[in-house]
Amino acid sequence: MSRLIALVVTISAVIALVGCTAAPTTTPAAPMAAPADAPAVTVGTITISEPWVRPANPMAPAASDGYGNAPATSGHSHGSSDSHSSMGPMVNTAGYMLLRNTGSEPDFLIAASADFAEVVELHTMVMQDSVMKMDKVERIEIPAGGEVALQPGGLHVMFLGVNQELKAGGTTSFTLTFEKGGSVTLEAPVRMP
Amino acid sequence: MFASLIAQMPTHRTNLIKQVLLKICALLVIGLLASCAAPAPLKGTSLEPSGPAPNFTLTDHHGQPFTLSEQRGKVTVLYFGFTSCPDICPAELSSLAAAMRELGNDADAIQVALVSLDPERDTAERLAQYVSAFDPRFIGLYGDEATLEPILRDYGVYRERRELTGSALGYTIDHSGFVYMIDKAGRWRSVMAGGGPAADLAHDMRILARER
Repeated sequence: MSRLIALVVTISAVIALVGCTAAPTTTPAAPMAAPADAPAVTVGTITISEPWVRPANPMAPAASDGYGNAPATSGHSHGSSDSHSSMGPMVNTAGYMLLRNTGSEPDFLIAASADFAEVVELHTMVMQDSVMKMDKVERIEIPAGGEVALQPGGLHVMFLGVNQELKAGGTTSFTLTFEKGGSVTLEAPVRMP
Repeated sequence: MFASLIAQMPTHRTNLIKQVLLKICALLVIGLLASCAAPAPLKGTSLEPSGPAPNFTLTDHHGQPFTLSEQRGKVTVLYFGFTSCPDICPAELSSLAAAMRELGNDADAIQVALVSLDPERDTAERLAQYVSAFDPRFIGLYGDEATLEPILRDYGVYRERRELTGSALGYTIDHSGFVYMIDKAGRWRSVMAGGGPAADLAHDMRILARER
């Protein structure tokens, strides 16, 4: 009897496996543009690498392309939108980079500035119970011998009131000020992550 | 097949054995149906059974009314955010844009929409600038508080305006960051946690786009 049960189970298992061959195939991730990163810059004991800034455009009409996106392939179209008046509320964007401290003392990122933004602040993003909360921080510590990544979904330099177009594929510059190391101006590519 | 096997069993076999075999078969058949006969599984959390997506009418960034129930035949992908958000909202919208690029022609069947959680600051113009930076096919949707409130409740969107002392931003909006997928028949099919890979979004969007 046990042989019969074993047979049934085996046949069933084989059928189950065969029936599952139509499992979905995984698709490779879309290749992302990889603009060359700016060379690392050192100030005091801090080495700053891989800086980049998200594109932002305070004045372009909605139809503007130029963000490196593939053009729409669908026939879906709306009428052209109204022409845009001057800036409404502030257009904001964010900057990211990797900060490494090669020294034996901690240093702190205490300020940032940029010609293209009215105000620049240091912000963090935290996820609490699936809720995303952004907060301003006064300074960001880079521990002795340690590193801190400013990256999407976490710490970032926030540029408020962007007053010129930051176009993907271009470059821009901004200044970081460290408590001990002083200030340094960085060239950074403008790109999507 | 299993039934015939059992039927051929000599009658002196006990009913107990028949019952055991039948149970095994039934379980396997159920397993088969669940794993294979059902539509390909989504990476996001499937809502089973999926019911009609709560309807709403908002205004799109061209100033035209957008009613969800009129989008039948298209897959609608909703993300709730705000344009002053410089970090996490762009991250998710970038992923959605990458997914759209990956989908090629399948993307024609998909409408990605950012629903503004900040009607105070997000005008049509501002939304237009913001969403088109990610993908010219994206739309921004907005409505006044009275319109927005029931939509947030229906979709379980958490939103809280919070003063940001000492910041030029003035206030920020804490919010949940899920991606909601509504199929061509207007059924709310899945919720996907934000921050996942674009490939997962593309995977689910493709499945829904290829449904009839």
